[in-house]
Amino acid sequence: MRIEVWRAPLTAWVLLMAALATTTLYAMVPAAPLKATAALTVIACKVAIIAWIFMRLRRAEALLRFAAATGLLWLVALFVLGFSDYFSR
Amino acid sequence: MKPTLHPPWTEADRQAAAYGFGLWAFLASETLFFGGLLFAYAVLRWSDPEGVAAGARETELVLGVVNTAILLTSSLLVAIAERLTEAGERALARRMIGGAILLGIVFLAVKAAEYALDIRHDLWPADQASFALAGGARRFWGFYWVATGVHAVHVVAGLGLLARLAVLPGKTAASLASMRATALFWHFIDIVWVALFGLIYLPGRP
Repeated sequence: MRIEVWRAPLTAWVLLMAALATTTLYAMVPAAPLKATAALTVIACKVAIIAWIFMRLRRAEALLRFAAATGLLWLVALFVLGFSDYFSR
Repeated sequence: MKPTLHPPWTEADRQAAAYGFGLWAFLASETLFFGGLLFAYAVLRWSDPEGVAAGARETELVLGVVNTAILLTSSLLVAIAERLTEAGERALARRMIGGAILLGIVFLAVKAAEYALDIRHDLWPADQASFALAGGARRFWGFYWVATGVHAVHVVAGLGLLARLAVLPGKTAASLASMRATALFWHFIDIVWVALFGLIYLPGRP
């Protein structure tokens, strides 16, 4: 059986489990700095790994990447516009 | 493997492109659906970080970690099953899907046990007198029940789609496009949970 079937998904899974362990342990460190930033960064990394490898955006056609990007685009617009009042004061 | 063509498509490439595009467009709409919930959480956390921390401190971290590992592993099995289907390894792909279904059921069982603990700890937002937390912590738990509940509904729907691939005769082998579409949906459920885990279980720890 081709090694490609297993290699990329297993690599992604190892990275995801390592990220899960890292973010959980860091959250438990007493008075550690930037906990919220660290947690959000790890969330972004895990989402990127799942989308890039499990969901195969890495090798997807431009049309599929475009469709995937629209969700992210409008999510960013929601947060930027929604928080514009907080940021501008 | 030659894919099964469903009407109105007459070419496999066009069918695959349409399935992929349609699924990603659907997932984009789902992103905004959960985005509304996440935005409400962000406003709450921005305006009352101490309240969110106090509420999140009451969540069952160990069960959250276990369930995250379970769901990530189920996504691994689905990702492998998709690639096995492409390689023509149909029997092994079906076993992988069976494993993913089993893990999805375990996820729901753990979540149900967690809900039971939450209710026992008086964290269900019932009437004012019986709800243990107040202020931002109380609103955090409103978010918790809605977000995790909606996610659980998605898990049930995903299990149904996976079961369709695994149980119906020849489905796994017959339709690579169906396999890919189902896999995308299952991975999206994983993405939502990964975000919820970081936002629900980690704030407010020592």
